[in-house]
Amino acid sequence: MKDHIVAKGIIALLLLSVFAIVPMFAGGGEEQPTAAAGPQTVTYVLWQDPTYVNIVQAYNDSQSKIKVDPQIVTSADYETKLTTMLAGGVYMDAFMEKRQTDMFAQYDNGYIEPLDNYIKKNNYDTRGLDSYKAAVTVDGKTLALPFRGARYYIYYNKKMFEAAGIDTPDKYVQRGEWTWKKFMEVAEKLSSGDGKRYGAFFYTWGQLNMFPAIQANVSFITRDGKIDINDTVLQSFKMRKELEQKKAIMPYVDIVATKLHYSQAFYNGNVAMLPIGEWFPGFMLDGKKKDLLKGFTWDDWGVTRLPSDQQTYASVGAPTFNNIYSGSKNKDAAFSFIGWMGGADGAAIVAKNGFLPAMITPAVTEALSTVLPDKESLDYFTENVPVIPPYYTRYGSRVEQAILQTMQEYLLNDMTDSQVMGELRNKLQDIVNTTN
Amino acid sequence: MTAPRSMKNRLVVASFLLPSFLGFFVFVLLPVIATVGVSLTNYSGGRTFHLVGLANYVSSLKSSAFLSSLWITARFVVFSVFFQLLLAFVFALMLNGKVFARTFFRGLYFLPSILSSIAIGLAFALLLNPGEGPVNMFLQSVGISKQPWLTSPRTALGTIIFVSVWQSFGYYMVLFLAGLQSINPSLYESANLDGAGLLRKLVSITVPMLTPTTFFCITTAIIKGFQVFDLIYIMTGGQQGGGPSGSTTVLVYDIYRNAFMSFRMGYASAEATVLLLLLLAITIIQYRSQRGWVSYDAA
Repeated sequence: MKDHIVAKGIIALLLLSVFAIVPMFAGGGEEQPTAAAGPQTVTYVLWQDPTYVNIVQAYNDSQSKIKVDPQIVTSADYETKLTTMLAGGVYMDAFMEKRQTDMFAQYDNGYIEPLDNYIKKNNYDTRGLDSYKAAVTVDGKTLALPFRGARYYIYYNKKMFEAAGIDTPDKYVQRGEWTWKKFMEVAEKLSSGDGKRYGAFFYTWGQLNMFPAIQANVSFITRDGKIDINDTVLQSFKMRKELEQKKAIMPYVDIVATKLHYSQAFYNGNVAMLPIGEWFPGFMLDGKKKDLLKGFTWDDWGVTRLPSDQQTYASVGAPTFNNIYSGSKNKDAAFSFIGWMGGADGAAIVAKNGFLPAMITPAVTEALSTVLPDKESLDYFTENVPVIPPYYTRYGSRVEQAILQTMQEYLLNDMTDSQVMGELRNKLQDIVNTTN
Repeated sequence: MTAPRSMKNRLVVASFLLPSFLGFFVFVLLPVIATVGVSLTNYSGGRTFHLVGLANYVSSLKSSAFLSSLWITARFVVFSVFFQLLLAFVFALMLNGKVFARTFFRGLYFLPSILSSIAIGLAFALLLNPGEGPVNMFLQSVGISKQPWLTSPRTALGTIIFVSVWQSFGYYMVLFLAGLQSINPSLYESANLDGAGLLRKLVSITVPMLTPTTFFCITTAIIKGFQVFDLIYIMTGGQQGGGPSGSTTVLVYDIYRNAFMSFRMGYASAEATVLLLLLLAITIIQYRSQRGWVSYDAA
């Protein structure tokens, strides 16, 4: 009898523990807490950057009806984490897009709220949007509001040019001589040849190693799935290989193995030229604040155009933008926030934090003058030039991988021109064949 | 009286097994079933997807990236398992005897196996920095040229294998030690009486009596070897990793890249299912073949 009671008790306890544990597994998505009285909360997912929180704080300080709650995700894994959060049903109202081509898959999966109705309803000032409309429109729908413009530039260390007795890149731009061939010559002259000083630094992203091709309007895979590559792609691969062999740039594999960030490379004061995007003044501000600039000061750097072999100069880049999550319960509030960030008021704050905003206004130019070292740099930074977004299709993320894999094979092996182009073509065709 | 008592016993047993089974069901079985299901679709992390049948499996078997990652994984498994178990066996033999501070050394060699793979990967990535890493600087100081370690396709996989062996051999060493201590000492006494030397005793007593432990270690090491990911991810550059020219892109890394960088979760699930079937096949083959060489006879 006693055994019977004990056994019953044990079974009851175990079953109760199961009921207690199971609800812990059931919580797939986090529900937004019920709104209490006070400002409306907008949950905003963004990646870790020293200045983004400043921009969010500026918005919160500028009004009292909406409070943006930033959910910061580490930059290195942002794309992966955002994908997981969206698939897992994590609640958010808006999110920042880091790898712009991910927008296509997110839209196909129903995560993005089209904004056309909100733009119309709020009589939104579309000056910031108009320049980048093609980049944020899919199937005729506006899916995002850009808040950062898209440009790549050459940032250069004046001290290294002075020490070598060579004209700075802006002089070559003024004389119309700033081609990729000239860039290579200058990089070679500025490097020490033993890895102590580099003429330039190309970071590990695919697009940074494909400037000649992108400026020549090579799309790699068109939106309707055709392969589009030519000799400018080969030229881009060869440029990297030749500069690495002459030790004018740091080898790709070393950058990956050492995890050296481009900002650190430039801060170290031993890289003369850095082709990187319009967000870099923010890094320079941070470097100045934290006293990270070695061997040069705030006044010893400048900004100018990328080299170009084309008759009409075009820069490269895709705008950085914000999307509204389709499952948001605060879409109007979310639109107010991302609209501010992409509008005139937000543009001035974005500029003060060292980014090129989507909209250039006199206030923006004035704010940018405080984050750039001189007027000439400011002029190049804000000039109105065509901008080509690299491989901007639903295949974009995989195209980037294909470029990097082919480039690595080319850098590390002896391959003929036809072999490397054949390898890239095969990889691109594989992407088209396996996209369903 | 007998039937209700037997039912009661079964219920008690079942209730004790239930929590473990629940964990297995929720965290292992359900995800496996879900993975197989997802592999038959073009799921890309969202709400819109449809069935594509075996298209993902066909794509993977035709894909040079998949086949290459399979080959690299096979090489990793063969070399890492061999060296892990060899070192584990040798150290277990050494630390089984009367050695000064053997308890301390047993703990020391076991320690890497309980450390975080992330921490180990980061530490070795720093040590093996091709430019200013301590290892290359030491080599230079003794007149040996700097080695590329993780930056050359010739050496990257070997470097990862070395780190994996360093991390794991201690775990198998402990298993071998347990196996050695379970061997009946009278076997060695008889061998001594018969005049058997060290090598003879090793070959005729130690190795045969350790076959059950060896079998377990080989099976476990092969399964773990096929699942390697964290060292590759940390030491070869995270999302842009996979080694120079893809030389360390193992199967799980390829699965990760397809799932989380290209949003091809259906395809990645198909790769994962192929990995599961491969491991199942290898384990079954090993299990069946053990009759030929594993001796469970007690002395």
